[in-house]
Amino acid sequence: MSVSASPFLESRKQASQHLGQLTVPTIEQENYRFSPASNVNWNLSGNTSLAAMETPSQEEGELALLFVSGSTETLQGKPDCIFQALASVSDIPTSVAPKEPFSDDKYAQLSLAAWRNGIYLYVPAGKKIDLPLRALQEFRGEQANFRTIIDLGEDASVKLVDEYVGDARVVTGILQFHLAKNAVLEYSQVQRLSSQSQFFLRQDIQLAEGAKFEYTPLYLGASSGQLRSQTFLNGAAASFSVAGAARGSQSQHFDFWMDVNHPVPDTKSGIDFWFVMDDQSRAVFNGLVHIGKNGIGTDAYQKCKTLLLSDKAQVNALPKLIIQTDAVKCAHGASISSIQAEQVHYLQSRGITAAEARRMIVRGFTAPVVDRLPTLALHERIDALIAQKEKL
Amino acid sequence: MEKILEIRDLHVEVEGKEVLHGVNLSIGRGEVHAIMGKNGSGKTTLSNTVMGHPKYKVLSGDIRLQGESILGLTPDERARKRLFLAFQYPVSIPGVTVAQFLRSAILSVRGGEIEPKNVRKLIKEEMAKLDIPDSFMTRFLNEGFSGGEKKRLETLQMRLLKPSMMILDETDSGLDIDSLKRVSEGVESLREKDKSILLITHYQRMLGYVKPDFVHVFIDGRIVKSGNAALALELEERGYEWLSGEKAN
Repeated sequence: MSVSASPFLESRKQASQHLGQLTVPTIEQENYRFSPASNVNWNLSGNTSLAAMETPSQEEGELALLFVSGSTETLQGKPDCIFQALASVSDIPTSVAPKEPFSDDKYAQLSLAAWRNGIYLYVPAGKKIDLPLRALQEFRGEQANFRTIIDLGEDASVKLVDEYVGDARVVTGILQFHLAKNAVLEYSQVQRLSSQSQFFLRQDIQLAEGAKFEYTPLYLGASSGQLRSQTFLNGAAASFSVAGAARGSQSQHFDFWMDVNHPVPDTKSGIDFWFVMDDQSRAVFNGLVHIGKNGIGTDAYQKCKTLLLSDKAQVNALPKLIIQTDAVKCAHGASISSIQAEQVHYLQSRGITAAEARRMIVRGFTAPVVDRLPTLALHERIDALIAQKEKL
Repeated sequence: MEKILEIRDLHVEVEGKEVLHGVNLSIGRGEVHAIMGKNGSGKTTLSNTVMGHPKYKVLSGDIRLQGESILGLTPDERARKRLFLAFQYPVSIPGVTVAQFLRSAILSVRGGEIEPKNVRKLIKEEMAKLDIPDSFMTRFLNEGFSGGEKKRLETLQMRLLKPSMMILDETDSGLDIDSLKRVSEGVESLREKDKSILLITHYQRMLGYVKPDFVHVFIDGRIVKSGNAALALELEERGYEWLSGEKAN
C-alpha cells in the first residue's frame, strides 16, 4: 500500500477527535493509579523542540545510526532498508500506520495526534540485516510527543537499538510494531532520559504466524513514567520474549504494564524482568497473559526478580492471568532479594573491595538483560551507566 | 623460623554466643598444619575469623600475619597481604562469569606485578595445568557447579593469587575419590618453602596426599592436642572421644 503526500493526516485527525473525548487520567483509575499525569500538556500545540545537542557518532559493530532531535535527523552508515525520521516520511509501504491502537488511552491518542517526530523502519520481505541498527532520539523542551513505526515484511529480520535521551519535562510516545510471517526482530529499548523527565509510552506489537520478537527494555533514566505494552500473537508459532531491566535510585518510579494476548493455538511468550532498586525508588510490574478460547497449546510465563539495595525501595509485582481454554502452559513468579553478605565476603576474600563487590553483584543481576544487547560497545556503555548509579 | 600466621588466645563470638575459647596457633614459613575436629567444633569459625568475616566478632586475642596484627583489616586488605581462604561452601554469584571474577581478583591482589593485558593468558595457563576446561571461563561463578568443580575453582584461585598463607576449609568435603586426588594434587603442587598451609578437615584422607608437619585437634572451640602426622592416623582409628577431656593448649 502506498499513501502519498500526508500519510498520517487521517490518523492525526481521528486521534485528535478521540483525545478530546477522553477524560484526563487520574490515579483513581486502575490503569493509571501508579502514574499521575500532573505535568502533561494535553493541547496539540504543547509539543516543543529545541536545537539538537552535539551529533553522536556511530559505534563499533553497528550498521547505521539514525539521530533524531526535534525536526532534524542525521543518518550515518548505509542501513540497506528504509530507516529514517518519521517526520520526513512521505510514502509508507505498510499496513500498520493507519490503525489506531489504545483507543481508550489518552496518552496514546495524544502521541498519535501531536507527534512531532519519531522513527520509521521498514524492512522488506526476505531482507535479512545482520548488523544492528541504532536510533538515538533526543527529546528537549517542555514536552515531546513521538510516534515510531517498525514494519517487517515476510521472512525479514533485523536488530534495532532504540535509545531515548534528553531533558524534556514530559515525553509521550506511541510505538507500533508489525511483524509479517516468520519475520524476526531483536529490539532493545534504552531509556536514559534526564532526571527531570517523565515518560508515558504506549506500544502495540502485532505478530503474524511464525514471527519472533525479542524485546530488551532497559530503563535507567527519568524521574518517573509508565510503559504500557500490548502484544498480539496472531499466528501459530509466533513468539514474544522479553528480558527487561530497570535500575532505580533516589525517588525514581517505573510503572510497567505488559499485556500479552494469545488468541490462536500454539504461540509462545516469556516475560522476565529484573529490577534493581535503591533509595526510595519504586517499580511496578503489571503483567497480564490472556489466552483466548482458541489458544490451545499456548506456552507462556511471567517472572519478575528484584534486588532491593535499600529498605525504603519498593517493588509491586502484579502478574495476572486470563485463561479461556485447556491444554496450555502458563506460569508466573516473583522474587525479592537483597545483596547477600556471604557473596560480598567471598569477593572481598579475593582482594576485591566491598564497593566493587557490590557493583559486581548488581552487574551480575542485570547481566541477562545487558548481555542481550547486540554490540560490545553498547554493553560497555550500559554497564558504565549502571555503575554510575552506584554510590556504594 | 619466621612465623607467618600467629593466633594468640583468640576468643570469638557469633550472634551473641562465644564459639572460640582461646585458640593459640603458630604457623612458620613453609609449614603445613592440619586442624582436625568434629562438626560444630568451631573450625570454620576459626577460618572465617582469620579471613575477617564481619559476622564473627573477636572478643579478645590477636591474629598476626607476618608479624602484623590484621584484626583491623577488611577481608580484601587481608587478601592483598596474601592471605587466602579456600571456602568449604563457595557461594555462587549469578551473572558474574568466572573470567570476569578471576580478572578482578588477580588485578586486585597482584595488580602491581601483572599487566592487565597478560591476565587472560595467565588464567589459561593455570587452567591447563589443573586440567580445567575453557568452558569454565564463561560460566557464572559457582552457579550450577558440582562439588568437585567448586573445589577445583578454589584451587585455581589459590594458584593464581599466589598467597603466602593458605587456609583450606574442609576442601575434601563432598568430593569423590578422583576429585579428592585431583584437588589434593593441585594443593600439593603449591607446597613451596615460602608458602604455609592450614588444612581444616574431618578426615585423614586428604592428609594422605598433603602430608602435614603438624596436626592439631580442635574440640569445643579450642586446640586440645597437637602432634605430628601420626596423630591424624590415631584420630582416624580412635575417633575424637578419647580427647574430649583434654585441656586447651
